[in-house]
Amino acid sequence: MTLDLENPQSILFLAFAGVCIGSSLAVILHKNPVISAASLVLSFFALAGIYAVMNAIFIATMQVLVYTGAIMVLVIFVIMLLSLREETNLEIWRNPIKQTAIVLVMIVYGSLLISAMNYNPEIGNGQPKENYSYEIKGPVTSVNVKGNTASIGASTFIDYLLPFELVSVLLTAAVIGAVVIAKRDKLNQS
Amino acid sequence: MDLNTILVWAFKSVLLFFIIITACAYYTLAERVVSAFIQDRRGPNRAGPLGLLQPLADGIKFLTKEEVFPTQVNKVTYLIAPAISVSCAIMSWAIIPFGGAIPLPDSISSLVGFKELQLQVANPDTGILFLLAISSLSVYGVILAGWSSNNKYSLMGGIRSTAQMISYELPLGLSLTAVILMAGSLKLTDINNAQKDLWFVFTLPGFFSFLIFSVAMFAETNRLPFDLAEAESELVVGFHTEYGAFKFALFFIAEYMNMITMSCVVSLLFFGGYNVPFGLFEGSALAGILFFLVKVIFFAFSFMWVRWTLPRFRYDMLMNIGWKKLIPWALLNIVIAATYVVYWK
Repeated sequence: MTLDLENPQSILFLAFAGVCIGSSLAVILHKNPVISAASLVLSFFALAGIYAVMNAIFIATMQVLVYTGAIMVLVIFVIMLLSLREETNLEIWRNPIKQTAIVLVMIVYGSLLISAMNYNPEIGNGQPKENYSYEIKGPVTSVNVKGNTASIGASTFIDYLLPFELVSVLLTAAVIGAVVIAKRDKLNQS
Repeated sequence: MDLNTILVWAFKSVLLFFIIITACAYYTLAERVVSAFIQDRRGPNRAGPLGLLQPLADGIKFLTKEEVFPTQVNKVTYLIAPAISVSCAIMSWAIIPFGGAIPLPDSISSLVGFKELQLQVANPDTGILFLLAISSLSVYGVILAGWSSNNKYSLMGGIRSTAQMISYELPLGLSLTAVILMAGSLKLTDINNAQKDLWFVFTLPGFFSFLIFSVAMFAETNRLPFDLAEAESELVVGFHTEYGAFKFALFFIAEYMNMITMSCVVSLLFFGGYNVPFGLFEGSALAGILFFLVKVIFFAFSFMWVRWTLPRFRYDMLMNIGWKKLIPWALLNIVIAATYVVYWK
């Protein structure tokens, strides 16, 4: 998306991006773990706003529903139950593992930043689409669905059916694994 | 996106906001009158004729009360929490259609640039999912209020309420899946139009899904018999123990707004929405709105009816019903709905 201050979408994008960056900084800089987690919620919400500005309303809703609504509630819940105390700066910087982690993260994000600066909007078709439509390439050739949700549904369940099913098998395995690990802990205790 | 569209959106939003606030105010009055009727006593009848000005008096009382801040609270989250609750409650009204499109007379339509007025602020592609997303956000109001109050009753109430809301979101969403399968769309207007001939509650999967939804609906709005969050005998009033004056009023308004939203959703999804049965009043938008209102008022009444009739569930019973009964039934119901859509429809 090209920035153009006359365009309401650009203004909304800047607003959401500003909130996103500000709250992301609060996540890593605030000393209180609950406030950090709450800032992460705000950051995810602003990200959903950016998706919505790009007319990807389905992805925006899913972002709110899954990340903001479900995952972060569990994170805050656990933080509240553990009742973590406020961190002091010294504890963070003295740990050698954390120092290494900081250097590694800086390398990764530095390379991301360089690739983002070389990004050519001509290739990625940066303009948001007004209306999404999707033509199915699979065995059913004559279907052409209109709309955001229907397009994603068609591409997931027709063109990418096998990868989708494989991912769902993987997730089921993860759920069963979590249940098994949780149960084993209970057996050892009793 | 031109100026007219934005102006119409703004107009609709402001109008809707005033309608919700008034509806909520009179819902609280109705709650007190109905509870008085059920308990065989006289309700509020001093302020104005038949006590009709009571909500106004309550509002003035909430606004003019002294704002008390407990000393050990986390100020920012303490103040943000009620705002989150009430703004989520208002946001979910944006996608509820209150009736079919109203055709505009020529003089107005030439002014605003379109021919009919949709009685809905926004109609996104994701429809009902947007509603679920917003209702999942409203948990933060409760969780932050409970945590920031720095009070053991608030924290316990907040944790209980959060656990309850995230547990009952699952059967709520799963029971909606059956409706979405039958309607073939996520948009509330499409779901409404799909019930032109047969309300979903009269189909087998629709009926099951209505039963599951109506139980989960009471739990999502934290109402009796599932108001574990504010079990007075054990937790004072739960997560909003430390809130007074207008900050408490915001939680109160949010609860009543959520109840009205749920009444609208259940009449839209299962009881034909703004369709008039048997093809009466063909093409009249006003009749549709009136029929929709009657259904909404009935379900709003049933919230009060249940509250003043049934006792509270125990916490472990609540969790058992949610995870061991409602979720398996809802999953089974999705299979029934899929079979119904493929073989009977």
